[in-house]
Amino acid sequence: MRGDELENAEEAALRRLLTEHFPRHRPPAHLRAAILRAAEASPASRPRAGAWLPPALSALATALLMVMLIIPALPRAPADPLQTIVGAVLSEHTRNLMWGEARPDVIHENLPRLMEETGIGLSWFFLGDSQVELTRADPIYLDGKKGLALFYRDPEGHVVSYLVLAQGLPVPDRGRVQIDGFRPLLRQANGFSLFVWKQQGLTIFLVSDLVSEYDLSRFREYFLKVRFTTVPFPIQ
Amino acid sequence: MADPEFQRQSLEHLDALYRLAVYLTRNGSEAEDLVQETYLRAFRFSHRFEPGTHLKAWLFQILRNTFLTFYRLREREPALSEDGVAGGGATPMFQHAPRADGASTGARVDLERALESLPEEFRTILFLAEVQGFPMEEVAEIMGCPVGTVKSRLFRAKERLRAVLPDYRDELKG
Repeated sequence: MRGDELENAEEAALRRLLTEHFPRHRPPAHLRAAILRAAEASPASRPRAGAWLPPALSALATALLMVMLIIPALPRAPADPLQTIVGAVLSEHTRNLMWGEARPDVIHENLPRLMEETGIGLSWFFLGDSQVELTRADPIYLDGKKGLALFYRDPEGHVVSYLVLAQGLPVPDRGRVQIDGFRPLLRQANGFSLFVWKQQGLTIFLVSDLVSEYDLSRFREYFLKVRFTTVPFPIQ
Repeated sequence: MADPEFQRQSLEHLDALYRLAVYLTRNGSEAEDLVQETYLRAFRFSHRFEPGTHLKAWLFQILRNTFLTFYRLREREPALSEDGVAGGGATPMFQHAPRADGASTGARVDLERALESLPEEFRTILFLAEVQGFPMEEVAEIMGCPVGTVKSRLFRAKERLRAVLPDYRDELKG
């Protein structure tokens, strides 16, 4: 037998096997009557024109009501923890800018009491140099948090405030800039620039009105000066 | 509900539907439930049936969809043993079949084992095309897949049947 003939014969035999030996189940006699009885009992379900409208409107109204009730209870995205404190930091900076009297002569005398009062110690701190002068050291109280502030002024009259808060606040990654080996957060608000970073579990702000691109490079230099030479720590 | 004429025409296919139902469920009482549910659905949605098209194919389509929706969830496909034949525990597909004479019993048992080793998609296509004689286009409509897929599955189903029916092959060659 040739290949295709064998294949056709196999095909025919397989079909015969299926048709002859496949069992011929007969439905039980009661099935037909049962189907007709069930069909009689079953309610007509062909939808009336527009019959879907009232339940759909009702469902929509219920959904709206649920949304109105649930939305106020939904957890909101956490507010930026720095946003509130940044406002207070800027106010403190502005207050010193307008009314802060330069008292470099009493800083060293006052610092021990200042550190004791605020709970923030300074192992080292930037004393100023030929470019920028340390003018004041004050205790601060911002948004319910104690802190310590050092104020500097450069020859052009720009005030640079170094504020340490005795509480570690989360500093987001977004907005950080690379300056040498440091990655502080840089923000600009209300005409001021701020660097924010954490050190020894404390939150530190460096604020100035140096906002232009040119001024920012100088502000970066000030940042490096204080960052390298000032070491605050929380007093237990 | 469907008009009496539609009901009458639909019920002409009761035997064929019941046969497929037993084939799918492997259980007489479940097959009755499946067929009854199929007819209730067909009567309920008779307005969707397009007159002039193949009523039998439409009913088969409803039956298979109903089976897949409600019955198959309860069914566990028998695990295949190493020889490709269903393992123990499955209800024999032909257990409610009418008695056959002794000579054909062996062929039926072989066929049963061979069919049980096939996936449902293959088995149903084989039944629709070879036993019920539906054309490929209608099998594709019932199965909800392209004609090419039906042809491919049918071919593979036959290949697998040939592979697990060796005696039958020898008989052919002799």
